[in-house]
Amino acid sequence: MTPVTRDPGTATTPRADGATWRSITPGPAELDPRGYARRRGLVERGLAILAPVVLIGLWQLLASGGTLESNYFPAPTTIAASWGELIESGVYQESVVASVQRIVIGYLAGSLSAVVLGLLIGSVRLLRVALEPTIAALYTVPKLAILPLLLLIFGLGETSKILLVALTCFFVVLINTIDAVSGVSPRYGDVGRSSGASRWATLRHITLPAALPQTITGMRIASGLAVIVIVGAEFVAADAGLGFLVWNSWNLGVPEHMYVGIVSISVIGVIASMLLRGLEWLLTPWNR
Amino acid sequence: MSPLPADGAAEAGVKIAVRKVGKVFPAGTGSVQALADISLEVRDGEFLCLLGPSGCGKTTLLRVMAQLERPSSGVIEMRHDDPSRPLSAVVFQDYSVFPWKTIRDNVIFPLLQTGMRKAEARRVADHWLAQLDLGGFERAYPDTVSGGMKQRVAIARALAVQPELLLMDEPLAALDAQLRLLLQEKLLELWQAHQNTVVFVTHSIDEALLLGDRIAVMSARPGRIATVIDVPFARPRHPDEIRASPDFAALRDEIWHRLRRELQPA
Repeated sequence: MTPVTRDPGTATTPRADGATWRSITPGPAELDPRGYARRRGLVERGLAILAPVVLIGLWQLLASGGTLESNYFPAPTTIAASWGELIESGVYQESVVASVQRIVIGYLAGSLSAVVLGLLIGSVRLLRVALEPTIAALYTVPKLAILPLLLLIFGLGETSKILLVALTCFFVVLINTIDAVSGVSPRYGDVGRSSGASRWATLRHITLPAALPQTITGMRIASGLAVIVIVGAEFVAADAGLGFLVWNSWNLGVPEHMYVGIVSISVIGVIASMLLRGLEWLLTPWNR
Repeated sequence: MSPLPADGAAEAGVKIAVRKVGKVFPAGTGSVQALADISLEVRDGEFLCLLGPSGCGKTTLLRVMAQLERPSSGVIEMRHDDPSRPLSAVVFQDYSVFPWKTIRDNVIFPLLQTGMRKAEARRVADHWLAQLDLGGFERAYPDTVSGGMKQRVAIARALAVQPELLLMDEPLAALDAQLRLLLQEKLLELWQAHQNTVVFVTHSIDEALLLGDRIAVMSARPGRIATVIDVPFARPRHPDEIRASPDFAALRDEIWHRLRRELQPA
């Protein structure tokens, strides 16, 4: 009797009495688990790289074939060439440095002060009930909407743009930190109290680590928002920066330069997000 | 100062005196009476089990003893003999081991709160981890080990500070039956070696009989002490012998019938 193969590893053998034997045996994933996982990993990583390459290749084909309007969608090779020109003239470096500087300073100032205040507000009940409604109200104000106000108060210089980034990050991180701290299971607090831990020891050994994962999530969201608002601010109130590069290229009618700016901005966002994932990996070894 | 009657001063041999303790929790618009008029004495060096159905307030009573709650009425007096040792340490039911600290650092944490130096705390922690068969896991994070091991960490953490009073809130309830038996033996062995005063909350009659010198049986809603039973088994106890003895079966039946009456309001 030849077994009727359904899929690798299982076979159904009919028997004389009408019943069948189903045998279940190891498949390739079970026979060589390591090799299987390695091949699978290679295929998956390959696909992750291949997909964007194919998309860009397609774009290149359509653009050079004339299917895409080159005034709106310049070919990737054209964009790359103008990227080179921008680097050669130094405009590109100047733009990147200007934007990154605003993002980093504003982000650090806003996020770090929010973590400290969030820990304090989250762990002191009276502070929390007093401030939470106000913070929630301020959080919902779109921060770009207060840019004109900041410009009015601080002028066109760096301060207004850095403050805009700082404010944006501050409220996101603050809300997440307060939420994280008040969400810490009271069981852990009980252990601290029954061990006679001081307020400081409780904060350092219980509240902070317990709230850390969600706090870092807030910091990661804030890093994305920082990139978004700085571009918005640079559109209207800057003479340097990647946002300015994009906006100015529209004014000058140089679409290639717009793409250089757009791609660079998204790369900065990706790098920021990766850095924060790295930070999370470093600071929360128990979650690895 | 003392609102107590004249006999309120701690008598010799009494570690904890619970006098007419009540506890009311606000719930919605009304309130729930968790404990009503509890009076109980815990003797020096004894292993007292608080036994009762879930919701009978046994955890609440333990939490009042641990100074995590205050009574709504009445008073609890505890004698603190040696100021160099903490009065009490608590083993909580579950999820109380810090996932962000290694197993060793979990045990070190309360030691540092007593003012111990880090190097000494580390030595003490490793000693107690070894006592609970956790040697070799000092640097592991709790979430990488089994539930039974996590609960042994919680027990090591409480024992390491050498409290005069060990308060345990169903420490074995979350474990499967076989692990539970093994840890009961371990607790018995450790207690027989160290003889702290222990208050042990459980809903298992077998566990209470095996471990306890006395069993305070609680009734539910509001929680009261229904009866206190002296457990006649001699120490040191051997779990298998005790479980096989006819006294064990008889006592278990007696307690069960009493509990059943409490559970069936009819």
